[in-house]
Amino acid sequence: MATGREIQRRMRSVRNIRQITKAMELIAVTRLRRAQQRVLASRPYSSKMRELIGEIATQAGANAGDDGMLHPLLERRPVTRVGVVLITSDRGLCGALNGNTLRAALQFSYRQQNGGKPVEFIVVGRKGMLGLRHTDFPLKSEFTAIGDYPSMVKTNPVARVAIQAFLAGEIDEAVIVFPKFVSTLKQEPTILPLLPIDPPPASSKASVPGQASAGHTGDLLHEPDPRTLLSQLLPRFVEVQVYQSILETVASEFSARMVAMRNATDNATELIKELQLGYNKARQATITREIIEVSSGAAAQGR
Amino acid sequence: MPLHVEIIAAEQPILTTDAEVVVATTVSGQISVLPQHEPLLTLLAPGELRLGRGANEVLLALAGGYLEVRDDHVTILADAAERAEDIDMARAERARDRATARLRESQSSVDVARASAALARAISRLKAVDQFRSRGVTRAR
Repeated sequence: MATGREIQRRMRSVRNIRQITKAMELIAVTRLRRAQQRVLASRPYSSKMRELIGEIATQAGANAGDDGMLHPLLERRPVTRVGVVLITSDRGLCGALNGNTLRAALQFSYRQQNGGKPVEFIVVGRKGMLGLRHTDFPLKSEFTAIGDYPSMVKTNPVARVAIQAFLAGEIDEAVIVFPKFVSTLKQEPTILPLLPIDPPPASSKASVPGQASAGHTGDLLHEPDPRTLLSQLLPRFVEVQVYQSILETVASEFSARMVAMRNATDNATELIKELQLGYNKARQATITREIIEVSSGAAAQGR
Repeated sequence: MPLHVEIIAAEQPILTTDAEVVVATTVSGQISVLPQHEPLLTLLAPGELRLGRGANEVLLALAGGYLEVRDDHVTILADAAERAEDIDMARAERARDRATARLRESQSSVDVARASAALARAISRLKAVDQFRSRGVTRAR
């Protein structure tokens, strides 16, 4: 049986832990709100851009016929090497988030490798970097300390490494793996194709209202020519996708941490309750024992 | 019917409004877009962007981007955009001086490219502020 003093010491330490996890939970809540806003704020840009690329690619593709590539980033080659852009958080204490993401990435990579396609990694976040050390996959480059509110200036180099490797023929395909922010309680490891860019089909809105207004066809006038435009738009599009994935990862990290810390706080509260009970019992037992000692001593004297 | 203008930067949407004219700086020069303009997609250079005219005029500095016109909808995907009245003149000036200095010293082509891009951005910001001040445009919205 633990003595009262030992129990009190443990209670103190559990209380301290609870204070910390509570504080971390609150911080995660406020940061999550901002991270979520940023995810939402970045969506209109990329969806509009996707639309534009679809329109140009479809239109230019139709005009150009099959002679030659529109842009190297659109080129589908036989895949001999695969690049995986893995996005994780820098910090831990966020439940199974990074573990799940890493597992999804590794499962995918082993499948590719068994299919005879070697895999190279581009990693964002300390946790992913550390996780990959236990594997034999080559690390092409790693990015850490991108921050809680990353700007595109910070995330663009990640995209550029992938683009360069693709253009140089070091990889023939790239995917991006990150924890998608589904809800506060749910983050889902997601694997999306990054390169080559698959131009989305031109939206129907492109031609229909265009024909309605007098004298206008659905065809866009491009200035400069479609090729030049694409050569600007496509790398930018990859950058935006990487940026968004990183924003999603940040939002996922905070929501996972929020939940993990809330559980930790609840567990600490539970533990404190049990310890308090144990302490009270021990204290009661000591008092009882002392009374017995006193009374039996008195009884012995009085005899 | 006025043009419906949407300005979207990568990190957040900037502004949605109606304007009777849009004047933008493209890579091949300034263009004005009026209602009934034919569908157009073009590359924007760092420079100023003007929406509307007279008292309703809004001035912005753009750091490059894309402009699409379609059925009187003008969509601008900006690499970055700032309203003229939000621009910190001192900061923009400092940025310009920094870029000029770097341009003078730097050797590698990457540095030169980066510095001249920064310089173009700074100049476009300053120009937007300048125009904004000289016209005494009232603050929009």
